[in-house]
Amino acid sequence: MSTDGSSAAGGSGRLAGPLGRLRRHPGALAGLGLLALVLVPAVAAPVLALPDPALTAPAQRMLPPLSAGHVLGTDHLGRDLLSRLVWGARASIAVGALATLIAALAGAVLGLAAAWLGRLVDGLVMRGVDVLMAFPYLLLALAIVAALGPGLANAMLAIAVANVPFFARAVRGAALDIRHQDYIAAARLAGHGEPAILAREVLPNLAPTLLLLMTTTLGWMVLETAGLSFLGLGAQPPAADLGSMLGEGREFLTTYPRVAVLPGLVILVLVVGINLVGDGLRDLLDPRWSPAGSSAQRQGAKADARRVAVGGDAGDAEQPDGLPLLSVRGLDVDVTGPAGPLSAVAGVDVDLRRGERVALVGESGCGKTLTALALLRLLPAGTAQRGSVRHDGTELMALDDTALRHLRGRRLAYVPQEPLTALDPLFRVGFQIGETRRAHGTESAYATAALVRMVGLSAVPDLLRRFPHELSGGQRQRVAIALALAHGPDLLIADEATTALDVTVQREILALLRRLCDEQGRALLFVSHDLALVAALCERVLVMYAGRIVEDAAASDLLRQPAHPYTAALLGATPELGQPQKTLSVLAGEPPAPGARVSGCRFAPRCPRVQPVCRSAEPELVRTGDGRRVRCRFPLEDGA
Amino acid sequence: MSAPVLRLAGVAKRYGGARCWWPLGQRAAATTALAAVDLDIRPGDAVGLVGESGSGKTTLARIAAGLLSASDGSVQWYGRDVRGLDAADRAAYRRGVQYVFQNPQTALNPRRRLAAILDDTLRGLTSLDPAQRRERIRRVAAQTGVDTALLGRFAHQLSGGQAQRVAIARALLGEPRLVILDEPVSALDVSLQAQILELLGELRARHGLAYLFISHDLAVVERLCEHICVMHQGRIVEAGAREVVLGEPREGYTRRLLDAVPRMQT
Amino acid sequence: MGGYVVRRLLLLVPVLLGVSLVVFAVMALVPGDPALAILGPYATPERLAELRAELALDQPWWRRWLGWLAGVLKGDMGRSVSLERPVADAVLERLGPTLLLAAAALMLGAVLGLAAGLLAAFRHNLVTDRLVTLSVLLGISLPPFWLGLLLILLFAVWLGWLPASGMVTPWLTEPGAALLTADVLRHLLLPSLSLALVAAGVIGRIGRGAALEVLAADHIRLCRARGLTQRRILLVHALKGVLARVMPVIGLQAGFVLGGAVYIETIFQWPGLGRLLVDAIAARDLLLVQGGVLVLAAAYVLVNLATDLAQHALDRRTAAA
Repeated sequence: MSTDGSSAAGGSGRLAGPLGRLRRHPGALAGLGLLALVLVPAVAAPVLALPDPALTAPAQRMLPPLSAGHVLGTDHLGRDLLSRLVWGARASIAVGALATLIAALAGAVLGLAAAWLGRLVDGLVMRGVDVLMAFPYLLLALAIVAALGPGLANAMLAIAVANVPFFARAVRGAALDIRHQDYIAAARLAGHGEPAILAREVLPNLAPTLLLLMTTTLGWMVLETAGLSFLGLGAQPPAADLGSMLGEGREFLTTYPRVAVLPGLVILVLVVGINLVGDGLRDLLDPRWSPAGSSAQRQGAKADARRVAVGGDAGDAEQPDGLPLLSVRGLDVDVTGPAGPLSAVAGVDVDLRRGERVALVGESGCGKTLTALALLRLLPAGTAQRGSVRHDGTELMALDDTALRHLRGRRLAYVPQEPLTALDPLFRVGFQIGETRRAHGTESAYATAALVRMVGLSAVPDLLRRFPHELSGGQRQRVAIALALAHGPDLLIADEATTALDVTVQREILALLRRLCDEQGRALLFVSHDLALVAALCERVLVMYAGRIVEDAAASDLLRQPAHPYTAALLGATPELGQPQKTLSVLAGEPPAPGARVSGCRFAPRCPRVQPVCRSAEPELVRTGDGRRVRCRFPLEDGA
Repeated sequence: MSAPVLRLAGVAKRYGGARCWWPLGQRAAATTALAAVDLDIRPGDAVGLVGESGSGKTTLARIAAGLLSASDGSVQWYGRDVRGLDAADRAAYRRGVQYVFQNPQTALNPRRRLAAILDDTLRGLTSLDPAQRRERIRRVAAQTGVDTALLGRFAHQLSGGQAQRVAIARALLGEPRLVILDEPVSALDVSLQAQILELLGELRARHGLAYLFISHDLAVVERLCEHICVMHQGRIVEAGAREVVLGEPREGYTRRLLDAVPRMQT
Repeated sequence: MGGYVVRRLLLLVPVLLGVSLVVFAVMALVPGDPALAILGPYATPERLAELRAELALDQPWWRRWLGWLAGVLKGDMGRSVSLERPVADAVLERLGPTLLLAAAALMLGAVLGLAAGLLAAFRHNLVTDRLVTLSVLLGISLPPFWLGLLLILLFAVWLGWLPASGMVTPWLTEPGAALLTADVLRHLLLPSLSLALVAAGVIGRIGRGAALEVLAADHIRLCRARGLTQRRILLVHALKGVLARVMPVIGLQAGFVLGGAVYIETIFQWPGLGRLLVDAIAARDLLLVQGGVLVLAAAYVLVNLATDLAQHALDRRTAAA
């Protein structure tokens, strides 16, 4: 049953490979170019026909650039500047790379030991790291050179040692993270010993982190060793690296600036190159990164800003009695994919009446959250919405930012899924309630004390002085509801508002939402994946599948007799307490990913009642006799 | 009555409270995650462990699997404390108790191919030769509905349902007596949840497995388990046959839990 | 909050003890006879013996460490061989200018870096973002000592606007307080800018990332859903989040600025501790190096304490690490 492999992830059997994506990363390519500019001559220095960099010729001192035999001229001792730059870069690169390698290896061993060998070792290593990191690290390196004596090797060693604590701390953090992963526990359950676990499970996962740390610090290391040489503590004449060349050239800064300026420029090019490659590597090792990434997101935002509004009355939904509170027509939402926009929500037509409690139900990835956010025009960057959203006759798509802002929070309110992240963690509860009450110029509908009472938080001592993290999950959700209610909105949009909560707390929050809507004649759009939950709260249910509304019916009708085969499958697959013998209907396969090509009905590939015609064209959402709407050619009927 | 496969006797777990030798580090008061829990799991039994977050379900499960050591009490494998097992019995315990985690994506090493993960597991638990291992993997994959073509992939290239099947296959490779299932369907959508529940029922019937099934979802536990333990604040507050615990609960907490479950009947 | 401050202050004690031990241990690394290393090959045997006694070289290392530590606590860091005066006097005399330079550089760097980072993230504009990203990249890749030379070349040598070296103009006779301040500020500008641009690069980079992260956070979306003004969302909610995240990085940059002072003071002839250290290393004056490094490390530890406390004030979730 899992052979159909319809998921997008299943499509790419082989890794495209970070190298393949490199071509689409302009920053990394530029970095490689700059790096090659310095690295290639430096590596090839012995075979290039360059003059001896240490050969002094007092008669030829300070020759200008483009002199015979000296492309960049000579320095104060008549040495060829180009040759010295190439050889100096060679020394700087070698020293920087070696220092990085030493620091990384030592740091990795210490960090791994701290993470793996128990509290005593961890305590000892980390206290040592704390102390070493209490030094401005250049000073630590300076002190080490002071003790060892000047010289390029000593400078390299000093820089390496000064950076060990940094690596140790970072590796420990990464290793601790890995240590707590379930796959480590799974390896223990397979009876493997610690060495095997370290070698097979930990190191492969640690390696990218370490590689990244090394590329991002390599630039620093080059700068720092050059700095020590600049101070005369690194390379000793006649040997030279870029730093010592700069240091020597400093004496002639006013008269022959190029002698000092050029080595610095080479350092800059080298380090910029290294840093660009490091950034590129970070992006490429991050599976979430896509080349279209940032720029496409911005385009998405722009498309949103253009406020494309189409057709005032697309779709065939009849207008119920009176003006609906919220009227949505032809709502599409596109998300940015690696290869352009993908349709995530398409053709949503729906009306909400005043005081009506409606549920939007579907499995993860079906577009229900995007739909809810689109109703508030609150979609994240990288998405674009089209279509019409009217609230009380006002077209939201035509509003400017200020008008839209006054609608949000005042008439349309939003209750988030996870109140721990949705309340600002840095501000006290009282502050957040206060600013919400003052957000629209006029006095809010309710005073703070009334709000607190309304959501049942009066008994919490010092509530207003608390930060969100000082409250329990249920209390936080009550605060979020209080924020939503401040201006007495006529529609609450709640996005999986109880999913993160325990079942007993969930029950309390549901009761609260129900009471607040009942008593105050407020409409509710409740987004959820849980049909059983929704049945207890809402009068009407919208079922979404793969970005489409497939069924719209009164909750009681829907539960008694679903019309769409998907709704039926969903109901049949939900276990019910007290009915352990109920046979769960098993729906094979998985929903199509956003943008996936499905010809005809989006549910056809999984539908138990599929007919050939279903695969030819997508059915419309049509109204049936009992006031429900179904997107199916062959809806289930009573007794079917 | 047959001897229990696994018995937890007075198992307790406390965190923190140890004095920190570095001055003024965190010296939080000890928190009790688990307080003197007794639990027997007999061959072929399916025991459901229900409770809300923080009730100690996962701590209990990890101690039963030997992933965590108890502060107090003992875990007994066929009547013998697992700390005192000889090498052969120790290997049998290791093979005999396996674990399925809530999130299959984090339970499968992201940088190794699935075939290698399964092969490693088999190598750690048994002394089969490569051909026998291949054969065993093929057989278990077939039983768990894992297409062998998927085994060349990495975990992140699989959907949640597929990955959970692979994780279940891994748990079955060593032919365990007891499988601990820690919220194995909570991260899945309801249609996939039904698939996995059906699979778990099938596998249990076929292999005579005992399950310790952990979930916050009473309806799911009810389907799969004949015995149910309700946990609250580190204790088992009520335990017994499914019909008794869910039908005529004695404890107030169990009743509150049952009342809170949303029902579809209108 | 109060408990946190007390805990952090008490934590200083072991850290500073550790720092003094490391400083001492590094100096004890000197191969061969420290007295010979200090005085050079032409020292008389009497002078060598005298110095050995002074340094208590016949005692075990921990005895010497405790002795030195006891001295430090009483304000006595020993006697500098090269300057022929007490180390404590020399170090304290030079500490002020270094702190002035470092503070100026750090503040300039923090302001520039934060401004750049916020500009890039808050302005949803590709050109600004690219420009800031590029300047930030240049900032973190610039060798500060080279930047210092370029600034001298441009503003002191070619344009002649600003002085190239020193902290006050030597021939300034009878300066009033205002004139003196202005003169010091003129001298301060180039050296502090050389350090600040690099620090700004790091802060700007982290700041931009932090701002993008905050702007994408759930609570910012809820702010918009609550109908708060864009101005308020950016300047109250997002800014506080960014500051809380960037504060530790500013603390770390204090380390760069205090260490980088060694280059910059050398280039600009700034009469600070960094230059003193370079000279002391050249003269193998180990007690002086020891004292100077200890004092600078202590300064760094205090700045970090300050930024940690600031971060805790912004975000109460941070616990003592």
